[in-house]
Amino acid sequence: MNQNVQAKNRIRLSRGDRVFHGVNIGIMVVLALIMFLPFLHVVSKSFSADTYVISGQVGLLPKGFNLEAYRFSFTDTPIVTAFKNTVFVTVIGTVLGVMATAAAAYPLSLVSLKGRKIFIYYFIFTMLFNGGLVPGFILMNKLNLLNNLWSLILPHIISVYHLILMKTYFEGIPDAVRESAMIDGANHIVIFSRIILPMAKPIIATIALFSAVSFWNSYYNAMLYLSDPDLQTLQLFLVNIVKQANATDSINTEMVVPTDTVRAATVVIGTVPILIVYPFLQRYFVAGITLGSVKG
Amino acid sequence: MRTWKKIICLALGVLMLLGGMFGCGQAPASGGESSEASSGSKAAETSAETNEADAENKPVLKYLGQSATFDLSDNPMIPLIEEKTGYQVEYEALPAGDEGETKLMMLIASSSKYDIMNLPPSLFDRAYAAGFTQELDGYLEQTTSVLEAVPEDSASWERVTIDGKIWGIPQLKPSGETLNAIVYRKDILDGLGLKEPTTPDELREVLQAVKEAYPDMIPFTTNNVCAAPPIESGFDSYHDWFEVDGKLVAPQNRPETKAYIQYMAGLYQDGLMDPEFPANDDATRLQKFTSGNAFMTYFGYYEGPGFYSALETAVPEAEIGYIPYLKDENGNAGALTDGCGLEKVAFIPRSAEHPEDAMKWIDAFASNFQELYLGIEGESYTLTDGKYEPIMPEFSVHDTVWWFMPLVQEDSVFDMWQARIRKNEETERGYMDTFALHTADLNVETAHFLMDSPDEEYTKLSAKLRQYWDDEKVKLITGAVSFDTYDSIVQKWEDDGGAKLTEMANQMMKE
Repeated sequence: MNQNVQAKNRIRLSRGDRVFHGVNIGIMVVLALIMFLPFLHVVSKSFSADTYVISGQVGLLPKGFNLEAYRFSFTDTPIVTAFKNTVFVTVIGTVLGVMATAAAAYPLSLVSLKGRKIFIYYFIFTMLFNGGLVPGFILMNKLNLLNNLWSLILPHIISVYHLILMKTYFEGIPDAVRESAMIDGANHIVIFSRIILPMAKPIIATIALFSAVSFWNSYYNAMLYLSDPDLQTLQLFLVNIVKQANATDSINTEMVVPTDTVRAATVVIGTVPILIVYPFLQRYFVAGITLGSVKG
Repeated sequence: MRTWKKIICLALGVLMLLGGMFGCGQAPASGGESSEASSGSKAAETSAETNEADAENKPVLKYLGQSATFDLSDNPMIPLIEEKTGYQVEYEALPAGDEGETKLMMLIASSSKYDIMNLPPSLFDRAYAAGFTQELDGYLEQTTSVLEAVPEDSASWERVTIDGKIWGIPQLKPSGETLNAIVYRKDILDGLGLKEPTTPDELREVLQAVKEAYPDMIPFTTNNVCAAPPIESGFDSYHDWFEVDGKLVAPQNRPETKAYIQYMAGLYQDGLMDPEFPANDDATRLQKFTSGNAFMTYFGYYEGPGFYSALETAVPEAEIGYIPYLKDENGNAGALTDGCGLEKVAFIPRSAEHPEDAMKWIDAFASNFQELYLGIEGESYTLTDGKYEPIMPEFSVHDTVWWFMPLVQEDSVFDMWQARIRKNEETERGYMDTFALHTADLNVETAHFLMDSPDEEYTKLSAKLRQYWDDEKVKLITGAVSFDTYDSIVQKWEDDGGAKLTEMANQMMKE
């Protein structure tokens, strides 16, 4: 009797369904391979000997396995400094960014704030209009933030998009919670820190993640504002080193053009940290985008 | 509640402190902030974050160079240069590629205070056009060694002299007149019993024979601009501005160019060329040859490292030959080099804080050139029979001097530069082999210096048209565009600025 029930409770897939699933899986496997195999190729190039790489004999597995390229990358290139700089920018930027965004989002979520609409429009305005490249540069110059890692952090501490996400989320927290706390004699700061923030852990984690990835990938600002070689970030370093590949229009043997192998190694070094972190955090990415949209 | 208040107030206080430091701090102070912020950065003395002058009261100079492919912060040349010139210098580099130009424009727009800028001629032109450079005649008069290194009558000065005033210090290409080659598999040629081709027709026969004997092999592959100087020699189409009856004529207007392009298109149509060549970058092109898939390819001597060994690993029985620069119907062969071209131009920006010291630094570099470029004889190099040979590993200290040097000693740098070739066996082999193409009957022409000019309009127009012409050339060769449209292509070239360019060139020639 039990077995019968169990058999009936199994969802039986029709033949059509099975074909559909099969095709789906097939297509996704192909897509996944298309994205994965080139990366695998780069990884195996980075572990191969130079001669095999130059003659194009390296396929999906390394040939002439050696760690020479990695040794070179870590000792003869500024990758370690670049790494440290990027980590600094990412960590400080994310921490400060989340704090600032939350602190700005909470008042904006309270209907009783005077001039709330004006503030909101003020923030949104900056999403649409930008001073431009040169005024931005001159501003950084006048603020003495050129050649300073803070020039990568401060302008991007609050992303208005994240701000709106958070604000919407805060608005979704029932008023009753706040009102009961107020009756108990709490002021805004207490409510914010003791009640709202702990409830907002999901959105904070999401914003933190988005900010962290954004800071990690920041290239253009680094390229513009940083000239000191000690301050270069990882992305700046990677782009420069990959570009050297095409610098053969000046016939100059003296330019030590990093070989293909070294280039592959630096790309792997730059990608691996995010690769490691991402699988653990990917559900937050997916959840986060819809998080701010559903009310109540 | 009290603890929370304390924490918040403390945080606010720290934030305000930081803000105060930034707002009131001068650039050196914020540099100090950044150097502790960029944790663990190797603080070489050159990343000096203060205006500390050393014992002799010499200011710290700020130097901007082109993109550096090495680690600037820990470089052995820096203390060496400081020792010889007596100046502490902060070195910075532009990013590579087009972004370097964007960055430079930003720096110019904000009047950044660099004392010396050492950049490729095209960026010098941009700086000059933006009014960012200043005349150096006055400062030059106070120098002693600069004019010894770059004599007053040297052609290099022409490039940096505008309206009779000198705006930059020219740095000649130390590599001199280098030729590029077409390398081929000699073992296959010998196997087929063929002779090395000396004219375009003979080349075609050879390629045809190779294709018949080895149908899977690519007879000739080149890069995406279809570079093939030895073949161009066979059509007398290798010149840039060519003088006809006292006037300069552009290659686009010469029938020889059309003949050359038609020949290459013919090769392509008969399957004698790599069908994928427009998509080839340098690495792919070399790979096709070193893996044994191509019979013949374009080759620059600097591509030596890794090239020969890669071929040996992949095809152990391979032997290499280089076709000579082909003879045209009159029996003449020729090549175009930019031996007159400048590698870089060093200039002192208008907003420099220490222009006289900047020039003194350049002067000191010039007077210590040999020690900075090569080191000490017996320690890092040897000189036998006029040949300079490096002593490794001491010589590698000077590997990166090319980035730092504002000029070269024109009379001796070419020989000294050979020491760098000899660092790596494969580079030396590549260089020696291609150098051997300089046969006695080869007419080596140096690119007319007008190809690049301080005139910004000329340079921009020239670059744009060059791009257009290269693209059309490739299209004609692959047959994407038919030869019937050749004249209209040339006409478009003229209308888009080619005629203007010719006019400007002729004008400049008169001056």
